[in-house]
Amino acid sequence: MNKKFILILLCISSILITGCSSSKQIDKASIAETITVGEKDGKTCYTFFLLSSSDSPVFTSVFAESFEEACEKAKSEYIPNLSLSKLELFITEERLADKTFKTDIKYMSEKPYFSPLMYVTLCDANLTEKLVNDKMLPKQVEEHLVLIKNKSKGLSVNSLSIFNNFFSDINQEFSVSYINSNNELKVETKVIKDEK
Amino acid sequence: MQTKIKFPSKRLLLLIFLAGISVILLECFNLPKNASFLFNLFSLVCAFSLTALFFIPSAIIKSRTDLDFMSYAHIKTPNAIIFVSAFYCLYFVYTAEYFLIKYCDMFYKKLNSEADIFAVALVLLAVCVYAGYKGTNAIGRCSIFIFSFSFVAFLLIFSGNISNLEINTTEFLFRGQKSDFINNTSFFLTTSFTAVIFAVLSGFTKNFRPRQIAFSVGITAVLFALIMFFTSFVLGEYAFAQDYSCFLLSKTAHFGNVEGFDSLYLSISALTVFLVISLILNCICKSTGKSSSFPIVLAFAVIIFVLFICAYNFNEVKVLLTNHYILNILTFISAVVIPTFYLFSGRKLNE
Repeated sequence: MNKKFILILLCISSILITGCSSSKQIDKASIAETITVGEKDGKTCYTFFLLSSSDSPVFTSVFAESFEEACEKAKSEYIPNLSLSKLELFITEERLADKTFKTDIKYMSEKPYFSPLMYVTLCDANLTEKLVNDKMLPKQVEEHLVLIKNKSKGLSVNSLSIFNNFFSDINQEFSVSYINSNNELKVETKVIKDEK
Repeated sequence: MQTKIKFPSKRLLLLIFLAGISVILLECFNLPKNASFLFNLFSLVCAFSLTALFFIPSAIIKSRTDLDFMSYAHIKTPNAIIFVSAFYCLYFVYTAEYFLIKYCDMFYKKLNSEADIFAVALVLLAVCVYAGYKGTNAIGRCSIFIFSFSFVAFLLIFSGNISNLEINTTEFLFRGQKSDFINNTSFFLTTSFTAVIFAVLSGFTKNFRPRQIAFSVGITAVLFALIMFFTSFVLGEYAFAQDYSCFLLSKTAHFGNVEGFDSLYLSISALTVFLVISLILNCICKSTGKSSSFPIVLAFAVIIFVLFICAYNFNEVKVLLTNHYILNILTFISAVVIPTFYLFSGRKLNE
């Protein structure tokens, strides 16, 4: 009985050893939940919204040409313990879609810490400004995305689906969600045409 | 500390099934981009048919004599057994190294790139030395728990991906190239190393029926086919962006807002590689003529660890030790050529 117990304990410890080796103290880790891509002073700006207990959003903005560069810059200069594995929402301003959208999606698909089910959407310029003042806004955006996803079956709302549409040989165009925040939040669809 | 009481053959075949699935969990092999699902399925069926054939010589020995291959060889050629033992020991060291490197690579790429990979290998080997010393029976009992855990994990991964399925009818066309077929078949054939484990350890079992082999290999093939199916119809192009498609499937599985079962994938990988290396250490013991010996298990674990250090310091060694073509050739010799030679020349050797 004792031997069985030791054997089971060893099996369980082999799981725990592998599973917890990359653990970080929650208070020391800077967990990004939402990232927006906007434009400030004519430059592309990536804003990392971090998990926090404060009432107002905690965020860091980084000027970069791509998401890859933004992540590297953020880690080396501003947020050394940045964790991207819990990223739930990636919002890009529509006017920057041609410039950054495809390369950012490609970068995310190549890194194992990003979830393929992360919500990815386009938005108007107002939303990125509103997000820095309203902590609840990302949750509302996600709720809207869930609703529109259930309604429109062909709509691509996560990075897995958008990547497949960008890089498969079949589709020349596909639809992604677009958040219109002029009066109240409203989700529309935008067609993306991609040259294969 | 292997007991002399024989355990049911079904349990060894359960072990073999779990050892077999480690191949698809630990391989960073991607299916060919231009080959269709049907084409890949065809190569899978071919590879698993070959794997089943690899079991035949040792199954015949077991059915006729109730002995494993090493005991049979010891009786037939007591003077030449040292060469056979040496070859099998080398084969098992190579196989253990193959899986240890694959596991540590996966650990580094998917779990923690900052971890000390030598410490990971050392801890894993230490656990395996203990299990290897305890014997196949003890590992077999442990496998029941691992099987239950794996069953639940795969059930969650597959059912969590059903909502992501996008059936693309072009995948059901037979499309692919000869080189893709060779690559695929060779990759899937890696699971045939289990035939050598069966050949060496089957002596500890009772109530053997050939259909148990067919069942074990068949279930492994079905599992591989399911992983391939979900890879093709859930991940699509995304599968080529990263290694380890099974890991990606565990990340895409979700039930409503509950998502990301990658920890389950990592746990099954750790458990199956633990089983593989423990069984191999046990096989090494058996090949040296002892059912269980702590000094032998420890000595070979040290050899495996030293080779592992060499592999991580010299890339050429690593490439050589993780080549599945070499593993398949060695498996073919160990599972088919040598046992068949003993089977056909049995009478002459007796004389």
